[in-house]
Formats: sequence, structure tokens, C-alpha cells
Amino acid sequence: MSDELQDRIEQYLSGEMAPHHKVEFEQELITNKQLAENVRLYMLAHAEIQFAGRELLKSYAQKAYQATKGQEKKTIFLRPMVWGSIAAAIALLILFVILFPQSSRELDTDELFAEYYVPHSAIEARNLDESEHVLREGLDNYYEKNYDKAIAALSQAADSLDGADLLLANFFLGQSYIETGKTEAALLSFAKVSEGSLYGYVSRWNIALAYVRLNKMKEAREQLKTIRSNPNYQFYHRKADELLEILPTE
Amino acid sequence: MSSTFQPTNPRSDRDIIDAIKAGGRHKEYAIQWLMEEYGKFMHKIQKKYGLTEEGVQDAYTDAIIGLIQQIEKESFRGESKLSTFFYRIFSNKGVDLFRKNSTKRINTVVDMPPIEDPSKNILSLLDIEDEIQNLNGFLDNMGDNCKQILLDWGFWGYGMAEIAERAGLKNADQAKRQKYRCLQKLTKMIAAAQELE
Repeated sequence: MSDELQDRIEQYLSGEMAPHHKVEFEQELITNKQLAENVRLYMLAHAEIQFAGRELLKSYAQKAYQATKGQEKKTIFLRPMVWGSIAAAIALLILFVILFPQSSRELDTDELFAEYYVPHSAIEARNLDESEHVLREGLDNYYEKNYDKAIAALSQAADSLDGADLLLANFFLGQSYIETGKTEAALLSFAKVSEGSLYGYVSRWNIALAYVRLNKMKEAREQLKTIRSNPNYQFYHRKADELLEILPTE
Repeated sequence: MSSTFQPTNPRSDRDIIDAIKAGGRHKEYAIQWLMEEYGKFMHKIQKKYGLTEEGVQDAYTDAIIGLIQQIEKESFRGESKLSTFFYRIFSNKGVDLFRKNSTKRINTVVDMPPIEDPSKNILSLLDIEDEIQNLNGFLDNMGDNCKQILLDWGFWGYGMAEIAERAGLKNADQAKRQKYRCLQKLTKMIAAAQELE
């Protein structure tokens, strides 16, 4: 099946074919057995892709099932005295918030970082060739949460690789440093991930959060404003707004 | 919420819907997030309908696919919370499975390619309904690169530039050529398997 024919079939099945071409195509489909066979194979190929996609989602379902085991809500009947204590605690909390507004309280940067930082899992390791074994070793160790080993392998990979592999090495090196509390080193690694790439977007967000963790609010705000002004970071806009609202300006 | 899947935490139903409609990485992250976020429903449905672990995971997967389809077709109009809407779909899948349990057969959801209504009559001549019920999992035999490219393109809806980046290819043109080759390889595998039957 030629590339051009693939395009035609794709256009036809997605309804993107111009009406006059569509009429011609359907006429041909009825009279040309080879074309009909190609369309049939194309549709089956598409179904195989959906099947593989479903298998992938099923693997996510398996993980989610294990992760949420034992988290079902349990109904607890509390005695009136306990309810009274809860009400008193809430009243005290409200009083505290009124007397000490947000601006005058110490901002817990670690807590804020933990709330907004979500690590990207190292699923891409499966795409690597054997020749990239150091990178694979780094990603596997990252996945297994052996962060020190991951840092050693990924640093080695970052020194010897280029292109997309270098990008991957630096990105997961940054995340490994984050996990081991080496936030300054994480900043340097994330900064090496090129802008405009998928990992570049996540890196910029992680850099902003790393500055938050380091209590460097001016730098954090600058990163967040850059994210906010760039449409490519659309998925982070809402969260950037939230953080810009929370972080002190000084 | 702790996460193992995605680099972001959408905060509203609108975030999720927009991300799924946008396709590509937004869709992938949103679906991964959804699957983890709604995961707790599995235990409730499993208990309610007496399903096996495997069975409830199947029903959950199919319910997520159903939700994606409803969002993409704009059938979900936001009259209820997305989680409520999903729970309804999932509950229906649970009931279906409960009813089918006597035959111990689980039907998976694999959709036909998007086909415009006027074409359906012509395409019905191709008679592929039965074959779609007996898929082979050929993508697993294609090598990681082809599998990733075809999934990115045909399942997640990534653009060619992003596919190039994810697959370590030079540019969108190279990704497109690779996609052609992978798709061709897949159709040949399907054709060869059918000749053997």
C-alpha cells in the first residue's frame, strides 16, 4: 500500500475527503477489488491499534486497582462528644485564620512543592535500544526508586549521549535529584532540557517548583510568569495562576 | 493525590475535557490522571456486582474508553459532574459483566475507525465486523518503535512533530514516513495471518 493511498484511505474514513473526491473514491471502492481490500486492511490495522491502546489502558487500570486497594470510604458513626470536639477544633481553626491571615504566616515551601510537584514516570525506557544501556539502566533505576544509582547512570549517559537521549537523561537526572533533595542540582539538569520539547515544558514547570522549594520566590515567580504567558504551557496555566496568587512578591 | 503516571494535576472537569479533546500529550496525561483518580470506584463496583479483579479492571478500562468517546463526540454536556457521569458508564459496564458472567466471556471495546455516516453502507460491503471481534495483538510483535508510533498517532492523537520527538526522529516528515512504514508493516501482518487461516 503506497503512502499516497494510505493518505486517501485515511481522508476517506475520517470524513475529511472533499465531496467530489469522495464520490469518485466510493465508485472505485465498488469496482476495484484491490482498493477495497486495502481499505479493509487499513480498518483492521486501525482496530489493532485501538486494541493495543486498550491493553495499555488496562495496565493503568491494574496499577490504579492496586494503588486504591483499601482506600474505600468507611462510614464511621461518631459519638456526640466527638462531634463536639470536631466543632470546637473547626471554630479554633477559623479563629486562627481570621487572626493570622495567609500573608503573615510562614509559607511552608516544602509542603507547597510537594503539593504541586508530580514526577513523570520513566515509561520511555521501553523504547531504548540495547546500545543505550546506560540510559536504560538509569531509567530503570529511577523507576525502581533507586535514585542514587539512577543519578550515577544518568550522569554518565548525559556525558555521552546527544539528541533525544540526552534530553531524557537530563530530565530524569533532574527528577532523581529532586527525589534525593538535591534541588540545586535538579535545577541545573532541568535547565539543560531544551525548550519546546515535551520534557522541556515539564522541566520549566519543575524549575519553577524547585525555586519554590529553595524559597527563591523572585525566580519562581519569573518562571511562572513565563509559563503563564506561553500558550504551549496551557495545561499548567491554572496551576501557575494559583501559585502566583500564593507566593509572596518580595 | 500522589501520582505515578502524569506530570500534572488537572483541577476541574473542564481541564479534563479540554485535554482529551486536544489529543496528544494533553489527552494522554488527562486519561492517565483520570484512571488513577477514579480507580477507587473499582472496589465499589467489584463489591456491588461480585466481579473478579480481572473483570472489574476490564469493565473499568472499557468505561474509561466509553467516557473518552462521549467527550470526543461531545455527548457529555456537563449537566452532571464528570465523575458522576463516569460512574454511570462504569456501573452499566459492571451490570453487563455481571449478566455475562454465566458464560465467562468478556467483550472488549474496540472501535471501528471513525467513519462518516454516508460511508457506512459502502464500508459494510467490506464485512470486517467478525474480524474485529478476533484481533490478534499484532502491535506487540512489531517492535517498540512501531508500536509507540502507531499508538501515538492512532490512539492518543499526537501530532507528527511530537511523535518525532518522542520516537527520537529528526522531524515531522521523518515521523510521517515512519508511520507509513509501520502501518504498511501492520497491514502486511494482518494480510499474511488471514492467508494462513
